[in-house]
Amino acid sequence: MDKKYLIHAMGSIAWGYVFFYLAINLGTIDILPDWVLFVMVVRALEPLSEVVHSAKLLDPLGILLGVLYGFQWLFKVVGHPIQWYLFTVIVSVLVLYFNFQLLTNLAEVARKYGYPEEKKILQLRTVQAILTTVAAIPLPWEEVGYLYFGLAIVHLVVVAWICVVLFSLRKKMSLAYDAPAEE
Amino acid sequence: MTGIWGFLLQTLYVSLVGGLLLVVKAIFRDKLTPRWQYGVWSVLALRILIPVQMTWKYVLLPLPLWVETARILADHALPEVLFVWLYRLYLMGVAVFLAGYLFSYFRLGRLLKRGEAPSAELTQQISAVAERYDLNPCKAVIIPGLTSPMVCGIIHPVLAVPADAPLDDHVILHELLHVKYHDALQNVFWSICRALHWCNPLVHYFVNQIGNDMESLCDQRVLERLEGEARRNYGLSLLAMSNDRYPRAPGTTSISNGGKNITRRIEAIVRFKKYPKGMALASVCVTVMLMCGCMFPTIQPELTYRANVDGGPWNNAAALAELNLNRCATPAGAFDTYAKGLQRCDQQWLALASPEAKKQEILKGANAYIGMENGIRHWKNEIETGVGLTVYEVKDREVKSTGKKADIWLSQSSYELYNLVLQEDGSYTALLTFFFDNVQTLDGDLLCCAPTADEICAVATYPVRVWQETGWVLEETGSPSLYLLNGLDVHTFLYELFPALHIYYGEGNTGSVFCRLWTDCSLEVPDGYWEDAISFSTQYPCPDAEFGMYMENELIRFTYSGTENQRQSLFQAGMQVQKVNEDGTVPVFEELPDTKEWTESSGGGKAAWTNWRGEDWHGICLNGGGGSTTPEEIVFPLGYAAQIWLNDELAETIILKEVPPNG
Repeated sequence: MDKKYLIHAMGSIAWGYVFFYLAINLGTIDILPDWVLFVMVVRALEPLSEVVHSAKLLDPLGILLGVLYGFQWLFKVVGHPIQWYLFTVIVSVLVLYFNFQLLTNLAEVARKYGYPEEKKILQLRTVQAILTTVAAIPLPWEEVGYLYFGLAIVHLVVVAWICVVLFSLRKKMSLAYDAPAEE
Repeated sequence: MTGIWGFLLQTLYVSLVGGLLLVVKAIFRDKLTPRWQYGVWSVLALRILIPVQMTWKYVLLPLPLWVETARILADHALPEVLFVWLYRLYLMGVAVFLAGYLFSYFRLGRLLKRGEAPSAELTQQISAVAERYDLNPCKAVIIPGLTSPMVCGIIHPVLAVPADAPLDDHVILHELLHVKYHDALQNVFWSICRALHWCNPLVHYFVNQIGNDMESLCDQRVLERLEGEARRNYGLSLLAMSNDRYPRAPGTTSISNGGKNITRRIEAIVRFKKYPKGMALASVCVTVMLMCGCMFPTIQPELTYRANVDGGPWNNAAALAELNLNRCATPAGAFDTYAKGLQRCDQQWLALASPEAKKQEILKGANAYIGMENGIRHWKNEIETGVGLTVYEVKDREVKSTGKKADIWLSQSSYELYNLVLQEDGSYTALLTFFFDNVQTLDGDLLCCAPTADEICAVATYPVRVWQETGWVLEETGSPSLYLLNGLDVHTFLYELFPALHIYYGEGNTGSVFCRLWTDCSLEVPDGYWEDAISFSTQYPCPDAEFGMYMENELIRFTYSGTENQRQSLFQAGMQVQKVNEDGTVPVFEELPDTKEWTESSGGGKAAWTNWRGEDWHGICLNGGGGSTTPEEIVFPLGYAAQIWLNDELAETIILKEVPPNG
């Protein structure tokens, strides 16, 4: 496989995360919709799965989540946001797994190419999964608002860090790819 | 909710959770291992074990509301005895199922006792397998006619093997692993669940799936202990049993569970090495999230089906169901709900904030309309709010009783909470206070009307008490009053004439000091909670409102008692007031600048003062002050100390003590 496809895939995934975690609203329209992450990841899975085979397993899940988030976005645009708790529970669980496996696979890519980002990605993945799970526990968050606020801040930092690490990994791979060509 | 309806709610929730798990499991079929696939059923186990509470919060879907609505409709359409018998039938079914299980368990026990002792080779083979894989060996019995091996028994498990087929080492390993992980005991638990929900076919399906997942997990454990060719052989052993009939009884486990299921197990075996690695944490997190979502009631149903709305039998019943389920979650919520119920003559809201006895009275009347042919709801016991208010008139800055009662519409008023006090028993007392720009009687007569809509022409008060029953409830503790202001500014009325919470009085050589203390409190409503736009002033109640700004207000008046000549000789008169210490002693006053530099009045800081300088003083020093606190933190003073300054000299300090409000 040409490594440039893998580098492009890494970039797509990093940008996908930016779309997923950033929300810029114009009225009811989120101009950075979440479903973009799944579109970009699904497109990036093919080169990724040539390095890490299990990445291919994310394909149907990515499509499913893309469709679910697409519907959610569409309903919000037309002014009828989906507020079914059952839907939220299923989607939250799927997203947690999706993120966890995707980051595990990306760490595997970093490991195979000998980049130190592997450990960082795995650590961030673990922290993110734990934070998401803790936030789902129905504690009396209103009474410990500072704790919830703290969790939110940490989550924000972790998410930003994930994006930074992914872009950094992509950049390193890209530089390594370009270097022999220049020589 | 008890009886057949309680069971219906429970079994619906079990079905819902089981269905959700099936969906999630199907999505993760090729991603998470059989260990998770079986382990996640623990969510269903908890759902079955922990009864669903009939609270105003629900899990996943508003099933309590739907079941309660169905109950109300059914209660009106069908005789009550039918539901009693249905519940008895259900209990009988449970008993029959459990008896059937016990019978089959003991019959199996008898069969095992009649079984033949295994050959020395078989015993040796079992011991060898146990030793090789570090497992405890198990007693074996040959059962003629048995199609596939199985483990029977919980305390002393026995491996039952067919008489006419050689036993593969892998099969023995599989069964010994069942023994090690107490799968037979787990099977008993799931059989009891099946018995408890015997009339729910979905639960039968779930339990069958659980049995299959248990076998897949055991396969996984076997494969983890085998290498290379042995794994393939194990698959072949399973395939050989795909056409076997298989036994299934509580307290047993069998390697064979039917052709279709064995096909699935073979597929899982093929995936054995293909599950993504490092997913253990994700498995735990997914299970915890599912457990939180499926176990804890976190959603609060909205009062969607409001009273006095014509919506057909279902909506009418749903309105009553909401009443049965909802509670005011906070004391402020009870005040808000009741006040808005009074304003809107809305029995649903009034009932929601009422003690159980009164609520049932309302429900009894409300039930009467269910099943009306035209579908229009009319309450049998109409409640008219704003009835029987004692009318007072304000004249010459005094409140005078007219000796009359009035029945008025409260709908045109706005309301506020005055004199809110947290009592020692945890209850709250207050005056629900309504402000009117016009007052109309229920007969349509106009009692008063302000010149503009911004002005207030009358004030009505309801003395109330709020305490915690199941939720927070409210009762009226006295007769309501209506004050016709007759043009007096409402602020003047509030400061000077409104019923005070505490009154203090003291006399000195220069005059007397009188102090009125009252409180007012705003409410905070969670933003965006209701589907309708809501704020404190909107017409929809918020049963979980919180107390907001809590203001303590004081009006202190010094009346000079000197003669006319003495008064006219004064060029300065001032008063500085401060609360006495907690032990009733006179406080140390703040050091103030010279009275010549005093501003006219101030309520800031610990002390409040007022000052007059000039000619022809009218003989009164008036001071209004206060501060913000919370109902829980406020401490009402034992008294006040007032420094009286005349002609720029401290004349005396007068101590004010509390007197009865009518003193």
